[in-house]
Amino acid sequence: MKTFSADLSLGEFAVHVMTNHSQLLDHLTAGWTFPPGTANDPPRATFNVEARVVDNLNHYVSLREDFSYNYQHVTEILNLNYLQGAVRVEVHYHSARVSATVEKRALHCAAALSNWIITLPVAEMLKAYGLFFMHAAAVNKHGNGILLAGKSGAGKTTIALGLLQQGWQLMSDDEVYLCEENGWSVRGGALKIKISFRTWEMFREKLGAVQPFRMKRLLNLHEYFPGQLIAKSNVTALCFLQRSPDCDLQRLPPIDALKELFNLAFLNAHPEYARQNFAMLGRFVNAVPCYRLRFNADFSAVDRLLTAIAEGND
Amino acid sequence: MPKYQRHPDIEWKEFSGESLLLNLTTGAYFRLNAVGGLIWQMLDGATPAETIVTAIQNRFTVSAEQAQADFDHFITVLSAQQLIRPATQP
Repeated sequence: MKTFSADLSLGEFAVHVMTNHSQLLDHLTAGWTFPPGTANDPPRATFNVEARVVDNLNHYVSLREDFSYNYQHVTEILNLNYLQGAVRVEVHYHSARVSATVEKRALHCAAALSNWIITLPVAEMLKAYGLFFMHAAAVNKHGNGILLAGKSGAGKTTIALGLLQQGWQLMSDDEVYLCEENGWSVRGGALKIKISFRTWEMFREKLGAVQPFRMKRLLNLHEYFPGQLIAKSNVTALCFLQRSPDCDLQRLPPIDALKELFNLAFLNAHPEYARQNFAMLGRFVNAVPCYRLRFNADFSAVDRLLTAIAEGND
Repeated sequence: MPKYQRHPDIEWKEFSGESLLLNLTTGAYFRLNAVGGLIWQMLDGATPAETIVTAIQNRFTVSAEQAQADFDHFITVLSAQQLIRPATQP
């Protein structure tokens, strides 16, 4: 069987991808948003991803449910099913290995394949290294990092672009890794973001005009905001995003913040890691102030609000 | 009186009076007020129910009947959600 392979980087970690299908490899590498690693330092760990494309898994593929998944944790393997079984992923914790079987028809979901086969399984394994995934954007101003958490469509990419225009630095618009080490820090390092046509239109003056497109398109941020992309920052606050006609901040009690994080911090997988994740999030909401940020397209107002909490003047 | 213990798959954290419970197996979570939080913390498999009822009565200044009724109702709810189970014999 012919094999195609690629080496990807996630900060100090490496991901080695092997597949029998060149188109799948293209999807996986194109969707990878992190910068290439440096040759100077050996990786802290290497995760091996083996993805095999087959003609038919005898499962019905429904594009309407392309974001659904379920999981089953069996001994040291986490089984994930996407697209009603058309993408099956096994996470082998102890060997730091991911094996995926992908029905050929699922190749149509190009934008999501990288997430399903690499990002989420690797995020699960990174918990063993004290790095906990969070569905959030992360921005920084004058050395003070702020997490902007929310589900898909909450406005993470929109507000990330708006704040980049206001001079903030960006670690990621969508996926970050929280770490409790000499205080709270967050790692991202995304060079590319996935952007919808609606968001593109909001920033067309900066990004240029494009023809309407469906789903999301990859945008290389380095071309538009050179020098504003960073890989790591401390965390001084967390905001849950809510689109609104108004723009204001409301401080949340820690218990409310923790409840919201259950849906955004990928808790529900390996029981031991879920336990560690829960304990870590409990400490986080007690240590870091959490807010609800209602925002609109007035990014200078958002800038003022976030600058105040970044500097501890809310 | 029967004794109950927290299910080992449940993690919880207390925040100034209130508590948040997470079922690690199902992902379901539950929020407890101060009374529920007190009962939950005392469901260690060793503390008799009557000791817990007395603690409710003392902490929240309610009658013995009210404390017992609150305890019984809460135990029923926790059992239905499989958050607790009867204590195993030592």
